[in-house]
Amino acid sequence: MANYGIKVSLTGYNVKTAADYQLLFSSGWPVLKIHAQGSFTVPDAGTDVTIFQHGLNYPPMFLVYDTGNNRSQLMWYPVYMNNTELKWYGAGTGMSGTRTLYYYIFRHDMTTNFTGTLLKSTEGSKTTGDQFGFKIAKPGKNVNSADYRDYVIHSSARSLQIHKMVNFIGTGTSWSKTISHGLGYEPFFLLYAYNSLYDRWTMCAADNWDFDAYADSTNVYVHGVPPATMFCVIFKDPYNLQE
Amino acid sequence: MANWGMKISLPGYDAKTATPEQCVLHSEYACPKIKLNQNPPHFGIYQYTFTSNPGVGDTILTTIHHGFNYRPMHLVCIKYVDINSINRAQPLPAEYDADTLIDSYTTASDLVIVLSRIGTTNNLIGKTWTFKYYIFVEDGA
Repeated sequence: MANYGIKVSLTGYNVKTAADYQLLFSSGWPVLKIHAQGSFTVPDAGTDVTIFQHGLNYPPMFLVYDTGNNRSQLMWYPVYMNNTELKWYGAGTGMSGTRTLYYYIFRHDMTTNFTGTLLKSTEGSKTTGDQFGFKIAKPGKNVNSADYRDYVIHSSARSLQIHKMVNFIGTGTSWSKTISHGLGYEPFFLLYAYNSLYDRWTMCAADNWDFDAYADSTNVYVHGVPPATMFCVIFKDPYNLQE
Repeated sequence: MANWGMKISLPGYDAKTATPEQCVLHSEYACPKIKLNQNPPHFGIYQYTFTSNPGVGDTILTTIHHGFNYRPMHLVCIKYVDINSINRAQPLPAEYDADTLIDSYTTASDLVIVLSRIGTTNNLIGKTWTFKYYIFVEDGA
């Protein structure tokens, strides 16, 4: 952060001594911002269908949940993202029947890079006494609502703060990429891969054995077999952090 | 943005002209939120060491009560050493081997981490897996 800026700590932490991950936000880096969310029913899981046209003209970060069986379950296949839409690619999968999904599209471009500043990596102690706070209600919602879904941000709830976004190309076969993050702790991160042949981004999860990744206190290490464009988002969030 | 609201731009961008992508925070775009001071906590880690080899079918590794009366958005990441001795950290679902899927889901009351096996080729006894979980207040369904 330059000589100016704003930062707000989570409830119970002194903003002057709080580690970056004990902040609600800081002007040195973004929080994860939701562009769109909603439910969609795939009428025939065996055919292709557009889930949501986002109109952003870039491929945004996304998450999709399968909501069948009275559950909400993260899924990565066969949902893909490109510059215009989130799409279900069911043709040829052998799937059938309907599927109900719940999706999130974030206002973060997977083709861009960003590195946040490092303000403080040592943990501040929790304080007692006055519990000040900061909250912004969503448009049309009451700022006194007890339902946290009604808020853009709330200092009694942690938000995922983005430390680094890296778009890179893995070339050749069996490539490796080391992404330094400088956080001093093992962070939580997510990884996405782009298939240029079909113009679609996918989340790296499940049996996506083409890619593997892990982190330590210095770097995120990514390995892939096929050449691919990748996107890694690293959060200011220690893997071992617990309340 | 309507005639009211709040946005904070990233360093180097003018808040008056910054796009949402160039903002730290923008009141038209909510962020996923994890409630503090919940019991059990809505974020943290859970470590599981196998003392027996799970059989075919579903084995629930843990259930974390969230107290919402709806299915919330969640993320669970697993950290493990795979069958090829490769370190991995990835969101669930994850496939340990061709027989073994590790997954998570929320119901209207709980976050559940479950292991599903269609075979028992690899013995899991002694394996330790570390899960990082987030239960968000946002809808997951």
